[in-house]
Amino acid sequence: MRPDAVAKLTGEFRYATELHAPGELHGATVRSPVAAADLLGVETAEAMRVRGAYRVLTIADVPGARRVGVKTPDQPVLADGRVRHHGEPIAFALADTAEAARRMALLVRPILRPHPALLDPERALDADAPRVGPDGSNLVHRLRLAHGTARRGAIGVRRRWRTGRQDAAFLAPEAGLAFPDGAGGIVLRVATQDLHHDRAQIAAALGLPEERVRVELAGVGGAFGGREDITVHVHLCLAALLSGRPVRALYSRAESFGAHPSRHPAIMTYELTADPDGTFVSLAADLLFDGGAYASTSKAVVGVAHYFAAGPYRIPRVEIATRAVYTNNPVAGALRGFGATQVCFAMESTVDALAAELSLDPADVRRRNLLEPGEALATSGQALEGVAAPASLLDALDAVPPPAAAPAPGLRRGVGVAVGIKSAGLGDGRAEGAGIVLRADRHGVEIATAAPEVGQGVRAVLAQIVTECLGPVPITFADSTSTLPASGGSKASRQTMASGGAALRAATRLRQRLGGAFPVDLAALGDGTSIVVEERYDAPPTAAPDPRTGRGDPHLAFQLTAHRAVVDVDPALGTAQVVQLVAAQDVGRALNPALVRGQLAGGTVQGAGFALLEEIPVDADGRGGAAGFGTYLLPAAVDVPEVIPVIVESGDPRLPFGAKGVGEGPLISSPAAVAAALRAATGRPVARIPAHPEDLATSHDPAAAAAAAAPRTEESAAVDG
Amino acid sequence: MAYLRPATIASALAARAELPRALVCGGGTAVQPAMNAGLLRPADVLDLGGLRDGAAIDACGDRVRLGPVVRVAAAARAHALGAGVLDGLLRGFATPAVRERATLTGNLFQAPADLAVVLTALDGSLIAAAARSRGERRLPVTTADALEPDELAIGLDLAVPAAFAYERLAVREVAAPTLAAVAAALLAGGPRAAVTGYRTGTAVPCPGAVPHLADPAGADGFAAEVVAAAAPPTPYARRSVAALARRCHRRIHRGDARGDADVRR
Amino acid sequence: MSGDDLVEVRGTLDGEPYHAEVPVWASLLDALEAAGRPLPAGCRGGQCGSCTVSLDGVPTPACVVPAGAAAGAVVETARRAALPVLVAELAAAGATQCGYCSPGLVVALSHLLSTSPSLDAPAVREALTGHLCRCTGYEAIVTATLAAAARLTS
Repeated sequence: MRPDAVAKLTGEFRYATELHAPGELHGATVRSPVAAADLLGVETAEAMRVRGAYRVLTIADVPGARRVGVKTPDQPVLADGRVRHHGEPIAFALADTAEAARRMALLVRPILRPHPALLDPERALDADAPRVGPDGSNLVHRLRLAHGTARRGAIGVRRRWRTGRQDAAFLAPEAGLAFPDGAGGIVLRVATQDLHHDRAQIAAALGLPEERVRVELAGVGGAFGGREDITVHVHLCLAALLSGRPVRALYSRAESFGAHPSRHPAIMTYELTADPDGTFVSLAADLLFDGGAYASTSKAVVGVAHYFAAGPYRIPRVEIATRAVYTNNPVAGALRGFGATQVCFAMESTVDALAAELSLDPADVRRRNLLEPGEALATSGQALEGVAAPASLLDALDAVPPPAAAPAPGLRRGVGVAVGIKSAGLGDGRAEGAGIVLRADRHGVEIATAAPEVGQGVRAVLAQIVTECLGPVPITFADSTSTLPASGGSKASRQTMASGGAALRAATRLRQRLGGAFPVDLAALGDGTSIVVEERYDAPPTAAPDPRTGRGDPHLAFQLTAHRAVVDVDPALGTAQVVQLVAAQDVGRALNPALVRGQLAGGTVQGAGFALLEEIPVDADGRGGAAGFGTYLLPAAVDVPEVIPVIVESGDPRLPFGAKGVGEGPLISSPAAVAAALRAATGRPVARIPAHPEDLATSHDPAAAAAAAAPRTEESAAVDG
Repeated sequence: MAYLRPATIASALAARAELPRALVCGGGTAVQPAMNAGLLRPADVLDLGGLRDGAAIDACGDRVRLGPVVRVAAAARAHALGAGVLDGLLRGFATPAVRERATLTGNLFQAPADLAVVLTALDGSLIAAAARSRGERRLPVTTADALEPDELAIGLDLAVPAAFAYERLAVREVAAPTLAAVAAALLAGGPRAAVTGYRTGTAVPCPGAVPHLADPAGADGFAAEVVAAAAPPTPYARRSVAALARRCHRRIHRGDARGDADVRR
Repeated sequence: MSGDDLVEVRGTLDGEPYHAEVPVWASLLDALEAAGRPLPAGCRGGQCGSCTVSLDGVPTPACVVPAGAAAGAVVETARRAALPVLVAELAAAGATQCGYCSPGLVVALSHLLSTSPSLDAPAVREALTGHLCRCTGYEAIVTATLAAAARLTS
């Protein structure tokens, strides 16, 4: 059981949203009302007349680096002469009460000279497009690869797919508390995915050495990638530094939607050809990701999308071009799935279209073309190692019985299957390590880790690893802070591998220090005696692919998933109800099956939400339209009545215990499977997700229904026949 | 400057006369979130949620009168309008916990007012009163904003239907914005129907649909009249409003909703 | 300036008297926070259910209740309203991850278990409408609640 379970269930666990300190100031963020403008000044006089007003911070108050960013430092701490997206932070109003700060924020008047906004990512690279990117270019990152001889199959399909703007929608809005440490430094308590990355950005902006900034993990109410980027962090620390007082901030739900990056909206053109027996011959894919106003993690997302664009398939000829561009839309960045979700939807949807063109069973087409373990990925050429046979995941789906009940009268049922793949771990040549400290005394073992517990259960896994090495000793956890050895972040499904590896090493050494017996005898330690072990684990290295060829071994390990979705559609209205979702994933080894099942079910449901419900619409002025959970719809329990996780264990021999990260896998192929089920139920193309009811309605217009069922000549092409 | 929570309708009317600008709150489920978001910052709040005489449900022949703070869930449980009349409506209205607190009358003051289409089809009126006059006046349920500053809505007057149907289009069944909805009722005074404008949520009565609603073979005519009243903006919207209308017609006459009728057209 | 006009709220919180002074526009959620008992609050709009308390015995999101309307009321959070058998089953099933939704839905499900002698999965899911969980996909919550129901009736 997870160590925090009972405290969370009974309301004893405290979250960042609940932090207060005596004498605190409250901060409220002034945000841009337009998507693109020059910022000529910030008028604060009226705001400062609010009773309880303390100060209004602007970019002029930033003593250090004016720009931060999780990968690329292109994002101003507060708007710096220009705003690039609606809702961009312009100023930070401080007051004695939250209400006074809120009123101040309404009265701060940014002087803006709006200019035309670039909202269409397809126009971003046009010569006459407004310039959004920091160096005058709107290209964030581009990758290209082309392998194989230019043969094309006799049968081919070409399709254009779009995915929408999904939000992490973690339940606890951004919040934090910063205060001076009394020695010229700053402490920040915040809900985050990476204490050390945060610290580096905060220290740079404050102009302080990193050791003068301490980031402490506050209770995290969900993350999913949405807490990789800086939000409240620098504003709070700056305010605490300048005021000498504790400073707190808490975003509203509406503010939260626009404050952290969303999933990248993507426009993806796929052309897949095959021999008449269904053997894939060629894939050409053009992928465009809307990065919004700042780079955030766009470069890394491009890498993941690019190298998994062809799925786990054998394709002799691949030609892929992937771009992320700057626009004046809200910022896009990390969200569980990280580019692999979008391309899985595109690839799997294209595979289904090709199967239909070939009049073959889509499952048979998949089985014919899925890689075997050890074969090379079509894109990077890296060998698919440490995995179960991809086709075995389809077997795992087939072993689960379909829903017991028939659809209600008048509803049409569809079944869809999709296969997905993504790396686990950062890869791409980046360091993949973590440190950990264990302290044993006669009462038990304390684990000190900087790996953020964001709900995924990393602490349960670490405790389990330590007790597996030492025997059943009492385990406690020290607070996670940036003064501990860096663990890397809780992202990229990596902590079971990285911090898990460190815990295994540290516990093994601790057992040696305690005499080597199993179970260890802590009672032999004298009163007041303790043994401290610090260890570090570095995962096997990866390497960035050759930029010219796209070939290389960038991935540490592979998350391989498959989903089957059963959906009922009301043909007249186009409304859809998920009936059953089955998620099969190769997890290497499930160290804690309950946690793994929870990851599989939870990610699968987020994927169903992406396919059917969840979207932040952006209007013609670049304004994101999610005001709350009344319009941004998260799946409710009745929306996903049966979710069946199936754990497949292959054991990755290169990793500690053979266990792979699992967090993102379930959100890779579930949207694609739901979309396939929608197509099966309706005969409609479902070229975008989330699918809207008007995309799914069929039957009131027989002519339209007939057209949908017939081959779409304008989109189907028999190539090189 | 105060928070007032009167215990009787009479004292509420007196308070309203004193504080015509006070924010009136029924169940609070819409007003309180607006205050939480800073959209409303009233100097005074007049909370009707504690009215001891405000939650009565009085049947009188083929009409029923609901007090101003009859909760949505309580109204459904009371079966005052007939067993099951509110059931179809309920599942799509907010969440179970919110339905326990939200009031039918209070909903009519929201935009969009999800209940207005149902109450319009039930020949409903809003009952308004003020301390200065002893009488009551009745307003259409879609005109809650026409109350005088010293008036309060002190209840609803509805017809009890012999048959009733409500069909709603939303991205999902529960807790989602209504894209379109149709309500139809057979009343002692004759059939009535109403539709919401597509995505606007505004209830529109459909007098032209009435003869078709009375006719068991009139589904298509009924649907055409309902669509004309709603003026949906797109072909999909027109077709789906028509489908909702046909389902209402079918439910009124055959007791079920979905069927071949949708598919044929 | 209305922010200075306070309403005084007294009531019972988890069996103890509590007291708070909050603006007239404040909610019960605000009053509890002012009394030193903050709750998770995911939306402050009555949609996510994370701040659900038992208000005079009825599970209610504290954010939709005007603070003044809760004067004199008996408020119970998950600390007091949680059925131990439910907590045990939810913990064992891995039905809490980030946990932000947990105390609120524990209040609602404890009430459901106390008032509905027989439960099936659809009834549990229906009761969870208005309790958004972003982490678990609900499956473990439903399974654990049914297990708790079975233990309560055996």
